[in-house]
Amino acid sequence: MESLLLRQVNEEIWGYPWYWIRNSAMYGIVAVFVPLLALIMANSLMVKGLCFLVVTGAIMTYMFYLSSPEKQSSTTKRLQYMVKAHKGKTIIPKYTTDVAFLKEVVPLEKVYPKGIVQFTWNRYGVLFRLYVPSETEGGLESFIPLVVSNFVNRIVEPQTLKVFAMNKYIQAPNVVNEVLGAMNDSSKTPEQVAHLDSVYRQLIETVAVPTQKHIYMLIGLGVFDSVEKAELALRNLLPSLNDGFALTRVTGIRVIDPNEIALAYRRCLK
Amino acid sequence: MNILSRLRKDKEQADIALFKERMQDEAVRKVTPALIEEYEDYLLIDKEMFVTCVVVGIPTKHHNGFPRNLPPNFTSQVMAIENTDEFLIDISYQCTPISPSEAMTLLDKSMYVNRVSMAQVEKETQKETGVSIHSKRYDFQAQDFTYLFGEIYKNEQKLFDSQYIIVIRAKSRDGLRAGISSVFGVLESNVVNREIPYHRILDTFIAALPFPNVVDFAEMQQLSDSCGALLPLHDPLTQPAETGLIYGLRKADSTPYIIDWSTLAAAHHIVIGGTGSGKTVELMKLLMSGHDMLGHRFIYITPKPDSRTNFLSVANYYGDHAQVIQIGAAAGFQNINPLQVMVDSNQTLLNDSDYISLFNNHLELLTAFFSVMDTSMNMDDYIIQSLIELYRRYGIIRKDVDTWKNREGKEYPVLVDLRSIWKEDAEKKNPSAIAMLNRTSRLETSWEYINRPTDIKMDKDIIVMDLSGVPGSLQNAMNVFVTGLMSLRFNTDLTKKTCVIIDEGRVFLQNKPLTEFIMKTYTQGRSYDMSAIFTTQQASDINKDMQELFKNNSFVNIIMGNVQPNSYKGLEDFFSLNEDDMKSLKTCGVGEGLVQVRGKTTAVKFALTDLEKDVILGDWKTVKKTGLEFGFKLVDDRLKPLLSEDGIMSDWIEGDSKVLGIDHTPYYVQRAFGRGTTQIWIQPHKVQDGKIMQQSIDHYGTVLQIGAYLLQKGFKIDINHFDDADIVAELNEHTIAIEYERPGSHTKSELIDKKQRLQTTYGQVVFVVPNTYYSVVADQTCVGSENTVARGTTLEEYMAQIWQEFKP
Repeated sequence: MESLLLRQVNEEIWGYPWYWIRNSAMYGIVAVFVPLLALIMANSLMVKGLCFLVVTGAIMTYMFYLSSPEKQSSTTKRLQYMVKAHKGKTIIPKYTTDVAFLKEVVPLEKVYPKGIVQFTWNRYGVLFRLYVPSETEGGLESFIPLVVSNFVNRIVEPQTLKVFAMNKYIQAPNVVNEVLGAMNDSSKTPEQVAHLDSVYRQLIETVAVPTQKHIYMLIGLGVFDSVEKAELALRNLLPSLNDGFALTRVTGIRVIDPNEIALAYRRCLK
Repeated sequence: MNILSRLRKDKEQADIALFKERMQDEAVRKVTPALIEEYEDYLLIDKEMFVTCVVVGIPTKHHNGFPRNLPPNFTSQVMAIENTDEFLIDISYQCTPISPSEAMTLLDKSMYVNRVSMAQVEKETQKETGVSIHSKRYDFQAQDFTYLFGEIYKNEQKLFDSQYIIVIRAKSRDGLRAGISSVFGVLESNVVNREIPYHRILDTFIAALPFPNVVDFAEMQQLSDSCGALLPLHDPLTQPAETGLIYGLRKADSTPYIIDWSTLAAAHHIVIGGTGSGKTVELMKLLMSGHDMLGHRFIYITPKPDSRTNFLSVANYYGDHAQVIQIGAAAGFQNINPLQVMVDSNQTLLNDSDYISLFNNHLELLTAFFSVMDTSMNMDDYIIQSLIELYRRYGIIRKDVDTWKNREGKEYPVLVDLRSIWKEDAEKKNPSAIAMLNRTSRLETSWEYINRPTDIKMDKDIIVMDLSGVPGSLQNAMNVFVTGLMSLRFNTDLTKKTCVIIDEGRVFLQNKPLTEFIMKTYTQGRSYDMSAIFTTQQASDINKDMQELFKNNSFVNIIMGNVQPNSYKGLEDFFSLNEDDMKSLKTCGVGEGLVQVRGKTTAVKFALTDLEKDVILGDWKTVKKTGLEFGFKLVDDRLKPLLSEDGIMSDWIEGDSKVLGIDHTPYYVQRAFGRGTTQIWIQPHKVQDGKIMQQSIDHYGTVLQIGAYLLQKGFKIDINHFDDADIVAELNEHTIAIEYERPGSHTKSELIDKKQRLQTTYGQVVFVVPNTYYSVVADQTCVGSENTVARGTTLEEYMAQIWQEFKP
């Protein structure tokens, strides 16, 4: 199992990334060296004091927030978040928020009648609801190569494959409700109710919370300047995808109805 | 006019087109939750769902991201994290292929940077310490790059940009923490790197959903094989049956093991377990659950005495609904007079021909009873003739149904009377009569007890038939007779499904008529809503013919644990157990075992509930208090004080509130908190002219809902339906008066007076109003906005705030 950061490979000096050494050096010049120079050159005591404070503050800030690549990255994210919060972009009431900003958050543009979804930046995709097997012939050792050859390797650039497996609480009748239903049946004798109550008490400690798994697969088709071109790309991909579903025994149903697509996204978002 | 109408039409069409266009544009509004709040480490969606994300597998300087030997079921392990009341776990995996040329360029660059960095470090350390330090990290990285390059160059695998994100959703921050802890547990046990993306949770959450978004800090590069292993395309959790009978707990995860009998071709079982394996205990558990949950009748037949297992007490526990039949000569034991025609009230006998058929079967049964004594065909014919003669003498005429249909037990002849007829005929040198007299001489000695009238009833829901008291010489005949009685059910419809449990069934397999009864039950039982549970100690007790019968007709096989090693082979062959099943079986102790349904074998612990333990094993005395004194179960015991009110809200009842339908009528009312409607159940005579206690049902329902909310938050409340405030709530020496107002119920000045009066008495007062009435009441010329709250979400927020202020 390999996972590498090939796009973020950095030259290192003393084992530290070059970009962090460069940023630290620039910070040193701007926040420490310049005020230090001013401290030396200034005649006024007040200015000297101020420069001293700035230099001390800058060094403290560096020690606390920038003294390692990890700290630097975390500080950058924190600053970005603070700016975002200051602009009021961390609280998003959908009815009063500008659509353009809403799309920055939830990148959905349009849902076309044939089930093609347009995302921001002219990206297009299609959504599938998957029903995956719980037991596979030959176990996972045989199933994974099937997934690789029939799903993963069938996706070609600029396409994207994303699978999102989510759980939802459901109110479906389960054995707990069944026991409760039996308890609430007025024809039961006190002995029966007492027994069912003991079954209920054992169940609530052991039974899994009733949930339903929803597995969605997004096939990102790529960036196109019109929906027709996206449709063409989909037409070319579908036979291969359907073949992949059949060979892996994963059931994939394309979500075509715009309302169902909206429902799927609503379900995922909340 | 035409121009105007055309213009109007054009405008309408333009409006429609614009609306359609807007609707398409507004897709984002349709799917986005009403309110998303992003905090440093979590999101709060619609003020009710907490969300956070975990970015998985990103390599760092000190961590490989994923270990090289990550088990292939890693994603399955994450998927198998149990969702709880507190949190839910979602998994997202995305992969985007990188073209081979770009992949090779990236790798070339990486290899170059690797070499440069290595040289830099060596140079700097040489300069610093005088010794050039060579870090092995760069060597391993170089090996990885070379391997990747080779795979891509040879076209054996593709390289992908990928991201693995786990989303945790919870109802509270505590739930979120519990979810994170569970996820981290799995990730750490697999040595997988993970990170919560502080300050970027929203971006990460959106990137996890089926949008083509990625976040740079979650992106890594992986080969096809890794992508295939990490995609969540395999659900490890076999969904347990949603409903059905609970057999026990799965040994693997302690979740209930449930079988839905209605989905089986027939609910026939075979149970194999040695002495002391817990077989009878499990049978009793099934009997109790099957009776109480499914409403089935059970007939439990055992030839062994009740010793370690208190199975008789199970019948005693059910009182009038059960019958313990201990057949035998001892004092206190009961008897079945074989000559009495048993009419079961559960059988549907429609007309005289049904009854005559029942009588014919009864005669056949008696022949079978005597057949155990090696009777010939001539003797069988003679038995029938003598029986008819005996019945005639007692005024019982087969075809005249009224002569026997409702006859008391004591009015039937007994076997010794039959012997009198045989004696008469023997004097006439009838060889069959002489033979029968010889075979039944004990009827006047050790079998004498059987000449008593029948003192059992077969119409109970649970019948425990203990045949251990029957003298050994009569046991086979009695077994045949009792099972024959059961068989009679095959010839008539039953109003209830019946399950016959035969404990220690090997006794039955040694006798032809008994074996026939078992075969008949297994092959034809389903047509008559009858099922059988057959138990024996060893697979070798069952002969080859019967093995075939059980294999083809038993749909649930239970193999009890604590198996003796010399029985392994027999069980393995009989149940076609594989190596893993045998391993599981060997680890099963007393009260545990394997359950086989539709070819799937599961290790189960036959755990008893506390009450089952008391009844089956211990000293059960009385029905313990169950908290069901009101005939239903409350979602929260703190709501009990409200049961003195005349209305009961559906939301207070756990399970189906229709149980209230016996003496209550449902009315729909607006929810006081949140949106939509709910039901209030009120006894019909309490409602007059659409009002209850001179209040509208809506008013009454709203007050009860607010009261329930406050009780659940720990407030002490006082509900007043006539004078004073609707609710006076007190917590931690703080008091608030709550008054519900509907439009038109009071004038402005009355409301102001009320406010002043309540303020003087209780200090704090709030008027809850429907949304439409808010602007009127909240007006500063009335009670003012500071004393007014609209029903719905606002009220919920307001109450939560009050609770925060008041609580200790």
